[in-house]
Amino acid sequence: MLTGSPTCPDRRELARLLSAAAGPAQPHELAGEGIAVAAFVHASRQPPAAKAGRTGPTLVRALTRAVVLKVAAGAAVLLVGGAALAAETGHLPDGAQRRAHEMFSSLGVPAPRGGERAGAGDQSSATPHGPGATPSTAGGARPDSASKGKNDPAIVRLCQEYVKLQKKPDGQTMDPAAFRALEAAAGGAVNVAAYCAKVLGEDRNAPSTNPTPGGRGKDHGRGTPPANPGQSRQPHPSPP
Amino acid sequence: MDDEDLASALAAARAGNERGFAILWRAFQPAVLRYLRVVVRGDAQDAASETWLQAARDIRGFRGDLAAFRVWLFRIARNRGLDELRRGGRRREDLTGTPQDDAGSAPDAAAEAFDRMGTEWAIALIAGLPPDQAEALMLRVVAGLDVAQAAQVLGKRPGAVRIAAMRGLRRLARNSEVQARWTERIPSTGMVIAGGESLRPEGV
Repeated sequence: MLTGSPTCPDRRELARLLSAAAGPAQPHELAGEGIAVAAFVHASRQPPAAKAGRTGPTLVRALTRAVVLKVAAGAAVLLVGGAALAAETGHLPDGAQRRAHEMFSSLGVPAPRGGERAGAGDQSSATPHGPGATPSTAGGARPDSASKGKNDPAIVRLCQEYVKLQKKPDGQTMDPAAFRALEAAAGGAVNVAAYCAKVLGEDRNAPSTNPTPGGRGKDHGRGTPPANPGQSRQPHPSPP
Repeated sequence: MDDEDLASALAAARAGNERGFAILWRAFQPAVLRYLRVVVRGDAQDAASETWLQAARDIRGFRGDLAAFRVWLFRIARNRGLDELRRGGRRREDLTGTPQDDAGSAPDAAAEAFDRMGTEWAIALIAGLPPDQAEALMLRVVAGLDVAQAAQVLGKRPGAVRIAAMRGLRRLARNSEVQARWTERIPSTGMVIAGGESLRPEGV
């Protein structure tokens, strides 16, 4: 039993607390990857000087609330394996151990074994991820969006969510924040249904010659050419 | 994932490659969340999303190596966290409450739930420290920054960061919860710990 008198604290307790704080990534901490990547893809298409403005943070916040559990659940499922593996390895992550060692070297906390430099992020990558696990859940809209530079994958995702909810018999409604984002994009609540039909129609590769009505979606750079014509769609070579 | 792979991912992300960005996100999001937990003193999810949104926007213009990226990222996180704090934060959590015990019956689920409880408990404790001590500890221990890097994130001198971290440690050590922790929590999850032995097989 580990005890320490109030005036002479047991440093091992403290080391344990620190190692717990720097413990392996938990599945709930790795949810939402799809959203972040979708935002990155969106941002990559803006001209370098563009500011995200009002729409950016609103969109991300709306996406986080409405979609993170649904969309990113897929990514989270893929990543749980890695996180669980890290949790089961049963040893203090090297980075945390080195830091504990630095702080308590005089008290006998051993140095880490490996030479790995770490942030707390090491734990989240205990399992190598194959190409199939690429969590780019920007979705099937990606190839078309890239060439047209029109549909923000985040908007596509919101529209898919909206349409799915509309079809539910129990009349489940969309998260208000997410709906507000669609409202802003569509130029009004009454326009959302038609707007999403158009967005999803375009993304099913039906070529649309209708110009986007002025005042809609201008925050999404519809008149802006893709910023990265050379953007590679090939996955970065997988680390071992 | 070692630093070399992360550096490659950084280079790829700077070039607009989304898989590179995804790798960076997976590597740093847990630490960003936990660090923001002590800055925001509440739910860190929104501030973390704002952090990555800004990182996504600005990473093309980022110049520097992986170490500089860490400083850059956590500086963004700190600013977004302070913004949220000033806005009054959305959901204030009870930082003094004990974590939920949701251990399943299978040994793996219990181990994972136990790890989660341990992590959340530890961070909640650190979050209860004075802000400068809490931040210094989180950046050093969880984000893996060295003293100079943490100082850059915090806008302080390295000596001040060192002092804040040590004060935080001393305060934590005196916390009776820390002393009582490992004798209370273990039995309820059915895990056995002999006196003096480390919980983890390899030792601390």
